[in-house]
Amino acid sequence: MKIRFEELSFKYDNTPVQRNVLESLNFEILEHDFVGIIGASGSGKTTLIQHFTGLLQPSSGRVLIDGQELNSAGMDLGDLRTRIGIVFQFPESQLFEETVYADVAFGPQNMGLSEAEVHDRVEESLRLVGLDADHFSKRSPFHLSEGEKRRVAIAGVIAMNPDVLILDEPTACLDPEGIRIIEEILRGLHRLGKQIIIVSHHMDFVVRLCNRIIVLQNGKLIYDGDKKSIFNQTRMLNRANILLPRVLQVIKRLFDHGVIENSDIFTASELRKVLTA
Amino acid sequence: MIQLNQVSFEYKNDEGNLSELALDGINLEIREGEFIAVMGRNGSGKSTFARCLNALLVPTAGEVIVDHMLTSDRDNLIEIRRKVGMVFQNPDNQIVSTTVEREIAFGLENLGVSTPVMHEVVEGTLRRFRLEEYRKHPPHLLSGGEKQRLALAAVMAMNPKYIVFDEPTAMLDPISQQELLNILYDIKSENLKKKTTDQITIIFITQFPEETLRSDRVLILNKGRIAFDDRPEYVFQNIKEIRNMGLDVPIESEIKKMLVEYKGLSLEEVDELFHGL
Repeated sequence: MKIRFEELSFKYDNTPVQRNVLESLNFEILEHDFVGIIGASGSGKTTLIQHFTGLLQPSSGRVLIDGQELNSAGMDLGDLRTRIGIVFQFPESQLFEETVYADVAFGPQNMGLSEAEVHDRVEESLRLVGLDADHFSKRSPFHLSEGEKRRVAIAGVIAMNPDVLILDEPTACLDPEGIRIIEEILRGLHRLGKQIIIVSHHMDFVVRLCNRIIVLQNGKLIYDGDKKSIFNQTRMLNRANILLPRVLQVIKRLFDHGVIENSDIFTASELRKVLTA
Repeated sequence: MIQLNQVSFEYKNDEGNLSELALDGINLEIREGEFIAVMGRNGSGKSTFARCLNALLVPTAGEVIVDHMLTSDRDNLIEIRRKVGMVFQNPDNQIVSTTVEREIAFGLENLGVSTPVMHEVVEGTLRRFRLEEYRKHPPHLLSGGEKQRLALAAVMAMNPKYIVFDEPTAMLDPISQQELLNILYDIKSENLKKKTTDQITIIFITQFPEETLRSDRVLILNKGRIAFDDRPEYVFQNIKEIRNMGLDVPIESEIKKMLVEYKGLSLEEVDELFHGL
């Protein structure tokens, strides 16, 4: 699915803040994209997400889904929201059913699928987030660990079988093991052909996963490109109030002091390989 | 001093009978003026541990003693809560007032502090936490980082002897995270200029290993028990064990070790290389 933002601006009505929260955004999400959207708090990340499925209407400009304008008469928003799945921040706070099964089944049931199809979708979604359906289906989502709750919430979105999955701060408040699991899940979904968009200020995580990075500052897009070139732009990152991830600070330090010769490594595991080679 | 003697805590599960041990026979002494960082994966008992320190929870076995006062004795409750302040992960859960200055004054009013003294403390606190320009603002209009600063300001205004932080940086963006961390470590350096009896003891729970590097002591909880309790540089030597507990070590600890092992650098050279990072 191609999602194109054209000159999109947005400001909230009836608030004291009368500036544009998003300003003249132009970009396109392509098939197979694995995009990280980063930016400091208040840069407009979460507001941006809500424009992907028409949860917010642009004040000016437009969003095109495969060439069709999102707010046009012919656009079926209900259908669009099954094709673009959004996992909001702390999605576990939206779990509400008595069992894990019922919670994950909620979306596909609303789509009017047969019980047999719903069943398959639930099992498949739980499998994709690494939860054993036999073990978890009948349990209450409220008595799972934080990481498991989040995975159930993600499964609930995957169960609608979207082409595009958008996640807002998927790692917030998880421990390193929980973060690693989410990372694996997202890699797996991307391999299955899903387009994935992660919104996060956890930069290490974004850099490990994504092949394309978009940087927002005060509602403006100030960078859109691959991760290889982004880290040479320290000045741009400073301007956007973004701290270089710890691992990259270490890599930069080693490179500047001539301990390593490679400046094109981005993750701890790449650094380990270089040092032990 | 806070002493924990054979402290265990059991939660009741859904059925109300079977139970799980969140803390399992903890023995610990927290000394005046110490800065203790506590790590552990989700579900390791960190929050239960924190809540036992100011009698929000009373251990189901063993005892917690705050400056000679048993937390299980209801008569000590007010005095213990005054001595042991708490800052939680989500400031929204602890901020109660309608303006920033009222929030800071709230605890003092409850303590029956006289108006002139209260005024002085509120002014000093607003200044110290750079909240002066927001004094009349409703707290919910502050950013996440500012709210967390306010939560801490309100606790500090009560002049506690101990402050327990339960993952205060988990929900913050990297810049606000850094700011809060600097405030915490400033408290630690100010301690050096004070008499032992006036020092503030900090118990800082976090999921981010690099945040613990400047602490006096790192405590790692695993399955309700203390797995490590030592200075950070010693604790983080145990890379494999810590990873097996679902946690991580600071990237620099790991890379320093590798530089010594694979690149033949001396410990001094390595420290020099990372100086000021």
